[in-house]
Amino acid sequence: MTEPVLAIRDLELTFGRWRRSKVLHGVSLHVRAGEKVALVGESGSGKSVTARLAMGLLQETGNVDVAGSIRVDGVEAAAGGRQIRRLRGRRVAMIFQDPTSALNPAFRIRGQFREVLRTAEPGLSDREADARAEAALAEVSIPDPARALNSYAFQLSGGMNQRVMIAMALANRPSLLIADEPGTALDVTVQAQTLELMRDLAATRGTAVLLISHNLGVVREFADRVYVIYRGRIVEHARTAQLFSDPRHPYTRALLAAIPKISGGGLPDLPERSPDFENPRIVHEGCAEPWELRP
Amino acid sequence: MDRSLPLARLFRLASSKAWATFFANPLSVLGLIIVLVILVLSVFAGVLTPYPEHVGPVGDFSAMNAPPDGAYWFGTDTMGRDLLTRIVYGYQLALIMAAVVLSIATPVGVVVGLVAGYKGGWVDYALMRITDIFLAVPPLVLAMAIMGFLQPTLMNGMLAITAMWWPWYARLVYNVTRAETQEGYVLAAETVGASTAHIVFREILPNCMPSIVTKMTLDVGFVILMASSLSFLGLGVQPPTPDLGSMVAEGAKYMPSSWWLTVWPAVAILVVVLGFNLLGDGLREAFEAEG
Amino acid sequence: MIWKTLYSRLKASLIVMIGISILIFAVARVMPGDPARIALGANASAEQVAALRADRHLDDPLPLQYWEFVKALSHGDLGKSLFTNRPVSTDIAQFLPATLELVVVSGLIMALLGLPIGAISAHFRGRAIDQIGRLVALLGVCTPAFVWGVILQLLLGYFWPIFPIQGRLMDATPVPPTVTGFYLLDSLIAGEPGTFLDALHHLILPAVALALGGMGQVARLTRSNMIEVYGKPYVEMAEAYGFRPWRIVSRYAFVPAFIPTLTILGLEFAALLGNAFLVEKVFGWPGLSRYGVDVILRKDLDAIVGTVLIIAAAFLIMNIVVDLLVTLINPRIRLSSRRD
Repeated sequence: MTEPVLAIRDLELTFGRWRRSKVLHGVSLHVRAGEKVALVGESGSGKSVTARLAMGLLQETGNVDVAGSIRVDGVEAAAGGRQIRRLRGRRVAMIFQDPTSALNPAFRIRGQFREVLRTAEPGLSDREADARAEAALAEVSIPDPARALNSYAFQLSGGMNQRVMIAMALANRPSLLIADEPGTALDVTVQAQTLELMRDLAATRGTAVLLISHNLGVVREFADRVYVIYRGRIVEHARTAQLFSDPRHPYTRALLAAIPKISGGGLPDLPERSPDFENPRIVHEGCAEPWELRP
Repeated sequence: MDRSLPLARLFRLASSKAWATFFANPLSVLGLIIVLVILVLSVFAGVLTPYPEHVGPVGDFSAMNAPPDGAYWFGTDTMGRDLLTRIVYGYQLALIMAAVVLSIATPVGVVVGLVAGYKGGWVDYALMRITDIFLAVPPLVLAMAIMGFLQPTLMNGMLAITAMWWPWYARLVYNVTRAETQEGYVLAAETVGASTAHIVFREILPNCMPSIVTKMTLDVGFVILMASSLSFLGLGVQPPTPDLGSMVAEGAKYMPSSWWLTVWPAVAILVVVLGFNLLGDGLREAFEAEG
Repeated sequence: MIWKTLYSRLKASLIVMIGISILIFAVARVMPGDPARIALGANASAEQVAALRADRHLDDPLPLQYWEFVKALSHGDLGKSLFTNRPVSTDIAQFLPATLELVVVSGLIMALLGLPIGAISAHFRGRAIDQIGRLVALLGVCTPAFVWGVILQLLLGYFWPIFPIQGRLMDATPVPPTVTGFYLLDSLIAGEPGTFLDALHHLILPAVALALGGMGQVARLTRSNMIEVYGKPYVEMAEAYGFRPWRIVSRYAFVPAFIPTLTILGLEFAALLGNAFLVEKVFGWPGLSRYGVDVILRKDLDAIVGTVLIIAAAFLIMNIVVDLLVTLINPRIRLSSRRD
């Protein structure tokens, strides 16, 4: 069996040099090529820091202590450093929560897109880069790609910026795409459209996706497998259908019970804390981590 | 909302985490130490300096223009006066000037800023345009021009610096007042019929105090810098009064052979401005940490 | 948008300029001492003093004096210096270019040192390089320009004499024919590279001494603005998309942080005009300052008023230019006009 695109094993994270606080207590997860996996939890559960560790971003700020292993596309990334830096934008890309603030306000889309393309091909000419950028924007159904390239992010709508962001993320054909609460800042219909777009593009290119979300409705629509994270620990791991039909961990049940029945989205009232939530991890049938399968 | 008197509020900081923030930064502590040492030296200059009699026009004629040695740590000037003694007295003078300038400029600027910011309308327009006029000339040039029409004395020097200093406080307090006037507690006070004076001095002013105190601390350094610049140009305190700026100007005539004449007063200016800057930055951090 | 900004700034500046002229005029006339007596000296007769007072309208009521002054000003007439006995405008035209040349070069040094020091400090925030950068900036801020002048002169002029310490040119170097009054430009226009190098050689120490204070402010501000920008999602995006760190420091984090810095950069640039007085004295630079200090010491009324007005005007013009640059460089402001 080939190695997963992303394999996180027993990841622990501690912030701070003097006043230390432990944020992750041994998180393990994996994403195989072409798979769409969701990591679900409340804000503060550690899902976003997990994503940023996988990208090697958090390690660069210093002030963090990481234990365990993260393998991205065969590269060890837990300690950060040059190797994972070189994968970013090429083999692994990220989509952010608020696309408008994630695009640089001082530069046109054109310049930022060129920079993205040149991380993979440093010698790319302006003309060639612009042609590719226009093609990539057309692929995400942007009506007038040339005009979008000439715009600043604040001149475009949130939905347009989200498409630009997806086009940039996929421009260098990465093998892994990490989507951190994509489009949460946008309204629901636009969010749904862009998610669909992302899913289709990822499917046609065989890009693996790790979706970070607190929105079980979105997860149900999008993911093949789901990890539920609670206070820095994975509490349940299942195929999407299994999880929604047969939630076994008390925390997962509380989460599901909290979804408003009619709209079917969002996580408005977070469940009260309960000692049951600290129960050990539950792994559904056929969902073991790859290294747990070996004898 | 904190309604207590400004001073009470400042003293209470001693028990809050502001002090912890302040003392956690070694540079802030360094600033505090520099400031305290200079204050003590200035206050007790008569006792602590080796040759207090050298403040006048004459010194030790047997040791004129002597390089630094055991008897004269910083050397002596062309009149045989101990440089260390004169620098300490220079500090004393500089601190007195800064105290006088700030104790006049700050209240004037604060009242102008409060009134313009709270009243709004034509009062705001008129007061702030006048402020702009002062801010539109480089401070040193304005002070120079005022000195130009006056005799170069200590009193007039302080007057000239004060005249160009208050607008900065007016600007600062005006901005804070504009923002605070929109806050709920001011509206609440207005609704219950509090007097203008009460609102301005008891409600808004306490909220300006951290910025004002920080700026005053930094400004002790910058007033000293400005005063020494004026006297360097010969437009401030006149000899034989020991003044750091004129000592540098005087010493520059004997460069490079008598380097100590210039270097020590120059370093002295740097140290005092640095000290008040570090202290001011530390206070700002502390106020911000207090929230 | 540009024109609207320009119009509103010019209007505000005109009001300020009128205010300054009234202020400085009032200060000049209210102060004790008889300028005519001072100008003529203690030996002049009472008749001579009276004649000079009449000639300069010094006996008229103040508003009338101000009116005469404004009338003359509208013809570009700033009055006559009692000290040089020439029109003040002629004196200023002679001395201003040397000051402006010093200020412009110094402003360039200030920006070229201050911006990178601040940016590098912000990039390595919290580490040793940052501490060094902050210390350099702080020393710049805390040290008056004349102290820098004296220290640089002592170190690089006397102890290790690689720079000249006085004047704009060597005595042996002929002054280039005046076109702009900037020796650097005039020597190039005249095609004399030797003169250019000599002028540059003389300019470096005073320009650096003048630049260091503003450099410190610019570096501190750039650092704090960049640290703020480093917390923005678009910088994380740049990192996540593999932009090289150097490109982020120099471009994707720098430019957004530079926009708010530019205003202060402009103010510091304008403030150089004031501090130039100190540096010119240290280096015997034949600019406006020596003239300014001379006329101040001699209570030369018209000359003082003229010098202050010219400096205030230069200061205001620089502020307008900065406002326009901010408008041009910030896409949000620049584009807001096209949409409406």
